[in-house]
Amino acid sequence: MNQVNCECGFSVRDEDEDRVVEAVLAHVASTHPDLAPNVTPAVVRGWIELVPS
Amino acid sequence: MGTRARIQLHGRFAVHVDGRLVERDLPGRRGRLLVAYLAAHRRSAVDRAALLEALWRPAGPGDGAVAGFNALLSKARAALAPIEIRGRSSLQIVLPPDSVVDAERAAAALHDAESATGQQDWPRAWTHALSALFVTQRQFLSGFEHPWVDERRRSAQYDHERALACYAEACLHLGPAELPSAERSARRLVELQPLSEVGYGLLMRALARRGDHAAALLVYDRLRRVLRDDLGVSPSPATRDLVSRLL
Repeated sequence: MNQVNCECGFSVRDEDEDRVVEAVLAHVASTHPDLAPNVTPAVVRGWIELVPS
Repeated sequence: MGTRARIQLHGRFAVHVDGRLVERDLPGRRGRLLVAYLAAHRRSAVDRAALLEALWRPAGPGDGAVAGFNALLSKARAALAPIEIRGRSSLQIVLPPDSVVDAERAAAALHDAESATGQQDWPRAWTHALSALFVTQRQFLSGFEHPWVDERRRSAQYDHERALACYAEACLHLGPAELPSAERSARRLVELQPLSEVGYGLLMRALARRGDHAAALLVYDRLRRVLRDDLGVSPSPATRDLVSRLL
């Protein structure tokens, strides 16, 4: 299972890595819009934690 | 698309190859430690004798350790395929090009975050510091007790503190929306490093930026008391100057 727990409280968990990346990118675009251009899918993949299902 | 591998050394040890969980197929605790050790040193080959010594610490490799190691290596190779452990007298794990090793990502991100902080490129510092924090906030090889793991944990803790400082500094420069993050990170830094002035300084700036000068003053008072009681010294001229500018 892929998980991202953001420092701001946002959290997402999914078996599918691409769906987690998509959800995090949407979160960054809505809550940190000025910073979104720096946050690429490759960057978000590095934020993922693997946790037991 | 080629093989994608991910090795997680911070938090729960995990190896995924094309989404398949592999760590449960590794031969026991020492087999997992072998793969973790090779992944943590994957940029160069590891001398077989040094690896044997490291895996059997603190007791040291006794009779039968070489045979035991050979069996361990053979089972680990079978479990990891198509990831390879190459070599005989020295060993190296070879991952496909798009693979992720979290500890490696964190080290590169921290380097970029500190470089961006030095250049006052705050959006870049924010992104890279956050990348380093996501990894270093998890304990290195959680659940493993081993001298090599302890050494890495100490260095990872230091990296985590550096990432917190970069992140808080970046947030302070990115406007009101990021001030709560600056404050949280600075508070965490104070908890982790109660005898360092860095976290207190960042926290005072975050509180003052929010307009809460009384809280900033309380933080300074706490720093003053901690330094006096534990070290018998006063805050540095830089921190005293910061207080006079903020308040």
